[in-house]
Formats: sequence, C-alpha cells, structure tokens
Amino acid sequence: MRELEFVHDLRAATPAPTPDRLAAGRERLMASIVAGPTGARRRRLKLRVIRTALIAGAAAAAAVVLAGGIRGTTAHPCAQGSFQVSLAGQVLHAAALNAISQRAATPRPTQWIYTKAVSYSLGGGRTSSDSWVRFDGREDAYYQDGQLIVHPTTGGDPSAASPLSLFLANPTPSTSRRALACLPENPARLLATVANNVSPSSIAGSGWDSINRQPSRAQLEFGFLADLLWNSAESAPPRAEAAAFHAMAAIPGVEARRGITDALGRPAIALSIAGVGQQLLLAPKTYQVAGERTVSNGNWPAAPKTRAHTIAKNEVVQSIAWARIEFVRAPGAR
Amino acid sequence: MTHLPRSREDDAALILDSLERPEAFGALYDRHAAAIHWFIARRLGNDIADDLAADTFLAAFRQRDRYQRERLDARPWLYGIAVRLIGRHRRSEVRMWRAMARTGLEVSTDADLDAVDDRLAVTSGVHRALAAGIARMGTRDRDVLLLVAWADLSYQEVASALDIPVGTVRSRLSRARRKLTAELGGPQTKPATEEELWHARA
Repeated sequence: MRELEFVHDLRAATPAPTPDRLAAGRERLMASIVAGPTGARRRRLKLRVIRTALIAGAAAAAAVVLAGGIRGTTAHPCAQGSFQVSLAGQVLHAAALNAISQRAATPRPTQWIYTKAVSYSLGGGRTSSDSWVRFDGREDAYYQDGQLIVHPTTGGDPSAASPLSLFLANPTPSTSRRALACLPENPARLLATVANNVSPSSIAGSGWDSINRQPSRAQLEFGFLADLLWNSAESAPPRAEAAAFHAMAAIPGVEARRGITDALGRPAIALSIAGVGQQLLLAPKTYQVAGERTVSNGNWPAAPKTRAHTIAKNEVVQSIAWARIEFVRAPGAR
Repeated sequence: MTHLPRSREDDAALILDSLERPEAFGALYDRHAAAIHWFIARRLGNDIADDLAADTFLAAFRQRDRYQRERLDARPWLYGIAVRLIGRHRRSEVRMWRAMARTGLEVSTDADLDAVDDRLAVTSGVHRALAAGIARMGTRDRDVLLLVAWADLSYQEVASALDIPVGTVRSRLSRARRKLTAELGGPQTKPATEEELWHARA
C-alpha cells in the first residue's frame, strides 16, 4: 500500500485554485448556459482575456505581498522569509478547498444557534458550557441553577458602521458573517482591507493582545482573520471563508504545526504567527475550524501567587474548542 | 468540532433540477470545481486546469440529460469527463513527469506565478522514482492510479468514471503499482495483496 501513499503525496504542493480562477470558470459556464453555443464561444474569448488579467493581477498582488508592501512604502516586517510552499500554505489551501465545497447556510435573523464549548485555562482546568445565541445577536441564553435565562443584548446600530468595525465592536454570528462576506476575494486586497481597518487599539481588551502589546501587522491580520473564522464557523459564506483561508496563507510568517490537541483532546493543526500567541486550530482531516488557543511567548504575566513572573514560552495559557454547534428552534433546545 | 450541518442535497437532484432550471447547474460547479481543478492542476498545471475544469463542467452540462439519477454523487461522472479531457494533453503530462523524474523539481507547464512555487519545491528521491514510473506507464493505468490516489475514488467509482468493469480497475491498478514498485526497487515497498487492496478501497 505504500506506493499509493507516496503517490497520494505526489505534487500535493500544487496550489489549490484561487477564488479568482474558480470565478472565471464559473462565469464562463454560466455565460455558456445563458447564451447558448454560439454566444458562449464568443464569450469564451472575452473571458480568456479577463482570466489572464485576473491571473496577472493576482501575480502582481502576490509579488507585492512577498516584497512586503501592500500599501504605501511600509515593508511588511515578516516578509523576509523564503518563498516556498510551506505546510501552512498546504493546510490553508486545503481548508479553502473544503470550505468552497460546502453549501452556504443562510439563517434568518431570529434563528437560534446552540453551542457547547469546552475551554481550558492554565491553573483553572477544563470547563464546558452550553449557550444559545440568536443569529442577529439580539438575545442570548444559558442555564443557571436549572433555569433558562434569556438576555436581550445590545447589537449596536448596523447602519452606523462598516461591517468590519461592527464585527470588532460586537462579534455575533451575524456581524461575523457580514464582515467575512464584505472582504475582497483577492488575498492581497483582502489583507490590505484588514490592515486598513484593524489597529492595535481596535483589538484592545480582546485578550490575546495582552501577550503582545505592540503586535506586528502580520499578527493583527492573522488575529483578525482567526477571530472572524472562529466566530462565523456555523454560517460562513463558503467563497468568503475560502478567500479568508487563502489570504491567511499569504500572511508572512504564518506557520502550521501538527500534533496539537484542542481543549477536548482531539488532534488538531495549529496555525499561528511564529508558533506563539493566538493560534487557530483546524481539524486535521476536514480542515474545519475546531478551536482557538493562546500560547505564551515567554512574556505572558504569571498568576500573582506563583513564584514565576511570567509563563514559560510555549505553555498553553488558554484554549477553547467547539464540542457542538447547531441551529435549533428555540433557546434551551439541543 | 461538530460542524453545523449544511443542507447538502444530492448531486443527482441538483442535476435533475438543472434540466428545468439550467442556472441551477452552477451549484454543481460551486460544489466540485475546486477539487476537479486541483486534480487537473496536479497533472497539467494551473493554466491548463483553468480551461479544462471549465470545459469539464460545460461538457457535463451538455450531457446532463443522460446522467443516471441513481448516482447521487456526481464526482465519478465529473472526474471521468475530466480524465477524457486530460487525455488530449497526454504528451504534455508525460513531459512533465519525465522532467520531474530527471530534475527532481516539481516543474509545471505553467508560466504563471503559481508555478514558481512548484519549481522551488524540490522533491524527494522517492518522488523522483515515482515520477519516472508514472511517466513510463500507460495512460489508462495512470488514469486509474491517480483517480484512486488523488481523487480518492473507490474502485467502483473509478469503474463508473471510466465506464469499465471493476475487475479492469483492479488489474490496471495492480499493473501501475507493479511499475512503481519496480521504480522504487525495494522490498521495503512490498505491494499489498489484492485482498488488502480490496478491503482498503471497497
């Protein structure tokens, strides 16, 4: 059987098709369906030109990313790395392939979502929680002493802000989905959009920033996309989700590490910048988002009553994983 | 993580629907185009894959009225069409495998930037030997081998894709594996028995 395993890995580093490439093919197919054979042939010539332009654009954009400057003249601090197909690239392109093969869920605003999450914190052990949230984020619910508590929540004014800032201010399933859907599919443009909208101050208080008070641009981009993918796991538009994975692969310094376990003890692949800080965990077979965790870079402050001042490098500070996530008819239903 | 179940209607229902509403066929593209494209790109490079992946779905659309409704999964059908289209580029593919065997580089027929990735990815000695074996084997054996190894189709699905009996799939795969074993040239790569293969893939 080993021959088949070897062949399975052969040319596995071939890049997965980008959303631009797939979009061009889809446009050609749909044009043919609508226009019929004669029109389709004419259309095809035109689409070849468009496709060439798209590829040239993507190549130019990728070159800019690799050179380290998407906007302005500021060099991307992590852009000095070698240009080769990394494990992170393979994993993220596979994740994009998986995402794009999924069918989009389109929940109504009042749709309830049940989640069971298991979390771990250093010194605090492992806990699990059941909670319900409405898709639009206007209400959430949980059980306390056997009684179901339903809370109204403030969702902000959707018309008052851009989808990205709305998500940053109030990450709900709905704002996550909208933020993801508004991002460009081209990886370079997507990262530029994130860089233009996310700053260290906009993520202040989110927890992971305290490990690094001056995050690099790569860390900001990675952290934002990781949060977006985590929060929209149940209703991400497939193409937008795929585009986010492709863009993540283009962030300089992004790494993948196998042999990790999530908060539930399941095998996972950890994606991160330089192996520490915020990590997005993917299931190794399906490449779906399975969890998030934070790994100390050596500067994380230790608990007050401990002897050490900081938590040792590579120690898992906190970790969370989805055990279940489902659409349900009402709060309290499982 | 238990991912939220996304209502995934079967491919046959979708194709049937497209007989009445042709635009519904776009959903089949959304579902399978990435995998078909990648399969072709691994054999011929991304540039040709762009054209052939779209051609695969165009051909599928034109012959959808002959689709057998009891086949809920359209992947074998689509891969079968893709393989026939790849066959028109047989010389290019063989050149690529030979170049890989000779240079140890995953050269592609692409001229675009993506191919730069490939050229920089230096392959192992095992991969070079495999590339030599694949370059030397017959097209039909290669098709079966790569449908099993890359498209993850079962023997039955490969038979359906290529419109051949399952027994023929087994014999072609067995021949392909013998060729690879010879190239690898070691007892450490002793091929599995037919029975093992049957249990693994059936």
